[in-house]
Amino acid sequence: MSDLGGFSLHELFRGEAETHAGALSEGLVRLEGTSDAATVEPLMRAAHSIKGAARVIGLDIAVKLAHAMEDVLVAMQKGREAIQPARIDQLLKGTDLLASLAKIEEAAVPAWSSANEPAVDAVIAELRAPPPAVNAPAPPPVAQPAPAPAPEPAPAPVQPPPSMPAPIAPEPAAIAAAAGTQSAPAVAAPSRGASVRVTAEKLDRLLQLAGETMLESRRLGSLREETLELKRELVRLEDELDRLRAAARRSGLDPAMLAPARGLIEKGRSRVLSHLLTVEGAIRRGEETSTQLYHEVLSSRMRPFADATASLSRTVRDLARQLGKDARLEIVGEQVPVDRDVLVRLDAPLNHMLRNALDHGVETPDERRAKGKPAQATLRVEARHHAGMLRIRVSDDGRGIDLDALRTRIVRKSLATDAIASTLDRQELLEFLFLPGFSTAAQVTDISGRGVGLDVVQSTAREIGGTARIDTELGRGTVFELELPITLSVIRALLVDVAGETLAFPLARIERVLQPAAAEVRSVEGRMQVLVEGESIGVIDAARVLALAESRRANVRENLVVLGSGGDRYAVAVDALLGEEDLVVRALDQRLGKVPHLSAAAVRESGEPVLIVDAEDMLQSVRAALNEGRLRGAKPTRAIGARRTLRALVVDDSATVREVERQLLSRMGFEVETAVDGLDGLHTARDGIASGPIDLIISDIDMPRMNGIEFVRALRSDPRFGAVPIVVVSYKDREEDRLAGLDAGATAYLTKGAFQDSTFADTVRDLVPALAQAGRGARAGDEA
Amino acid sequence: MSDTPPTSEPSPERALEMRERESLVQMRALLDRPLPAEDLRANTELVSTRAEARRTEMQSVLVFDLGEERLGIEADESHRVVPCSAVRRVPHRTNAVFSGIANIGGELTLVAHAGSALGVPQGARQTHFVVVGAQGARWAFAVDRVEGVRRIDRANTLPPPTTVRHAADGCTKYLAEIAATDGRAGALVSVLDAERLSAVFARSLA
Repeated sequence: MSDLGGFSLHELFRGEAETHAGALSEGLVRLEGTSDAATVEPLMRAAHSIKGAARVIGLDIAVKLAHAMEDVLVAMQKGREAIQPARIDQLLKGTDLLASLAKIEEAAVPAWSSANEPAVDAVIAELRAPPPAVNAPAPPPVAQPAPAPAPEPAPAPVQPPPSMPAPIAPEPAAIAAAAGTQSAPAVAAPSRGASVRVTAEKLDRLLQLAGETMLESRRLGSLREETLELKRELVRLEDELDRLRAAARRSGLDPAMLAPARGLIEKGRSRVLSHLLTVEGAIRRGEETSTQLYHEVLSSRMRPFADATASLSRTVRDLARQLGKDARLEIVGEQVPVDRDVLVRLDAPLNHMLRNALDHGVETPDERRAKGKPAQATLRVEARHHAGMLRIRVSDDGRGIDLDALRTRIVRKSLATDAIASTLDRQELLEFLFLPGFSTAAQVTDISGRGVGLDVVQSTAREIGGTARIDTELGRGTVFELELPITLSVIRALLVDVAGETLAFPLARIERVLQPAAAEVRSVEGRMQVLVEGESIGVIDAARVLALAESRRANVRENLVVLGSGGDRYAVAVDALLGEEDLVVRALDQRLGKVPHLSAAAVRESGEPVLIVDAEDMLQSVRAALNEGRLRGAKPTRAIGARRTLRALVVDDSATVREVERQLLSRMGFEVETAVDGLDGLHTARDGIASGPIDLIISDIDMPRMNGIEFVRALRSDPRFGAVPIVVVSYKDREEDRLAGLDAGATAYLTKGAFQDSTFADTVRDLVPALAQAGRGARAGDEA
Repeated sequence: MSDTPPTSEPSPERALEMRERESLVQMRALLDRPLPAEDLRANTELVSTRAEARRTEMQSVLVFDLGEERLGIEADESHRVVPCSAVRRVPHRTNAVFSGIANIGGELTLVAHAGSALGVPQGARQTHFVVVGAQGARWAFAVDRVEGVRRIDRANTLPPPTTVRHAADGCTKYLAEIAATDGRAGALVSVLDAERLSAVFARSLA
């Protein structure tokens, strides 16, 4: 085991397959563009490597697939077969299967194999069949001058069947051009120096140890102090000796008899002095080396931005073909270093922004030509470091967003009144696009669903402490700009004391810190308020929100941390402000689950542990506490006779979706608890059911730590949840996703577009018959 | 271990080490003394019996005080013993058994209150953390005093009591006789099962 560095053989296969499948996917798309047989070779090798690795672990299904792919690639390289899009499609299909296999845990492989055997065999059959008939046997000419109008008629809006590969002519050249603007056209994973795979846990452990080493070497400073003290004692001894000598002289004794003692002391002093120098040197070197080690380990978490963009050109190609559009993707800043924790979070937002641009922004080639634009649209993804942040721009040169139409739409969807909508400025209007379920497209499409997805962009940016904004120019295009922290590993935080515990608020999440005079904090309608720039802000005691003991000090309201922004600001009262510090963020122990109001932990320079506050989560609790007069978990008593309050649990990792669902359900009369992922949901559900029945559970599918499928399954395996209606609300709207959800035990499966109409409310009413009775009694009916 | 801040008196860990060294010296003296006739006969008998009948298996046990109780844990089941450091309460999670997290050797470790978990009343001041469990399943619990590592004979242990006095019995692997040492009487000590103990701690988080 140890010689594999903690990886099982299967994990090694998965790693290898993932790398090679990535290289294949990227390389095939480029190959289609260049039709250069010389670039086939690395692809051949990639297929061959997967075959070899699969054979080692006896994964026959992968062996035969990779083998068939390799054969076709060999034929292409030897010139026995032309490079043509239909063939590339088949190869990409095979690559997708291999990539999906690389995602499967060892235990799940048999299930995957039996489920995918027909698909694999079908691809193999296609690959084994003679190359599809080609209309133009010669590969398309390489790289025409860029803005040349496409000679072909506009592609059909439906994906062409593989037997008629004709109407995609302009595209390959485009991708070739895109590839050309970047690094060398190398295809297989370019070797950026030799590299080894290390598990993330191991890297975290290394970082911990490096941090500890740095602390230890600082503690050595006390050695120096001790040596200095020794030196001072020797000086005192010397003084004593001098006094003795004087006394000896006075009593007529020979002072010379003390000379040997003096000599010894002096020798001692010089030895202590040289020792001191050695110690100081050792401490300094130790500190330098350990600090360097620490930063080196930290930086090893950085990966090039290219890691997040590897699959994008493929996405754009496939989507554009599907939509009958013509677009090329340019990526700038592939070498910009980004923390791997940030990189993983970029995947979904980048995809959604590009999908949105292709679906809603980019016009059809005909439309574009009519407007005097090149038929081929350009999408750009740019990354760069700016003022200590990672700035990512995703832009298109499509039709842009019509602000007046947007305004009309906002009013029509009752998101704002006419009067308010007319006062909204450009930026405020565009903010509405980030609302879940908000769409600017006139019709619903498969690609971006009902405009869902953009809220993911904003919520992801916020979750990792960044921002997202949109800008647009009608007729010229739209720009999304994300500003994100370069690393999540180190944050600058304000340390505070709450009920004797040290907590850290990330500086990026703090609006301001106030130390108001007692007189500035007043009680309005029994709630504490503080006046800031003429605006009254609600104040709440952090110790109360966190359910830590009451604050120890009598007047805790003199230290306020203001969270939120604009009109949505709240002040959290803490016992003391302890100052700012850079903290190396560490994940909370998995066994704790998602702890409400906390995002992570850290160790201070002093070695003391601190907990890092999840500002977004805390803000929501504070908002709820101040607006509804209760804290999460506290049970409000409703005066509807003796009728029990209906209870619902909402599980979603997007704060926005959680809030939308919470509002909808509480309007319908539910008392709503929320949880941020499956594991948290499971905890909350189990805690909740102990105090009475739960009437409804709403869950997302894609969530960290425990996804919705696992969550639903876990619930259904517990007899207490056997009969509770569970509604899955997900972005995934394919039939197989729906089936997977229902298979796991969900009662209903809705897509997030369901918020737009009454589908969500109708489903809930169907599933919770008690709602009809309760609804009659409750004042707040739904407002369909 | 260098976790200890420098002080004038020996650190508890250093004291532990010194005590261990002392007992080693005593042990050596014991080995060097001339063999009394009684022992010679006993040993001859021992050597002449079949190997499997002997079954002497020495086990090192870390012995510590938890409140009034003297408990033990097999030395190879305790990951490390370190002086207590600050325990940070975790909002919404800290309870009678789960105390919070502490920085132990650079690792943020979950800390449990063994007294509450085992139903043994524990004083307010603890001296050391005993850390058990593998990485990722680590638990630390504070003890009132660390007595030291003692050797016991596995063959001479008793099964845990059938009448359950308190939860500690449920976590007991076996009872072992600890010989008297300087100032402390010999006693029958419950040797805890680290795995079961961790399970009890973990239950407090479920």
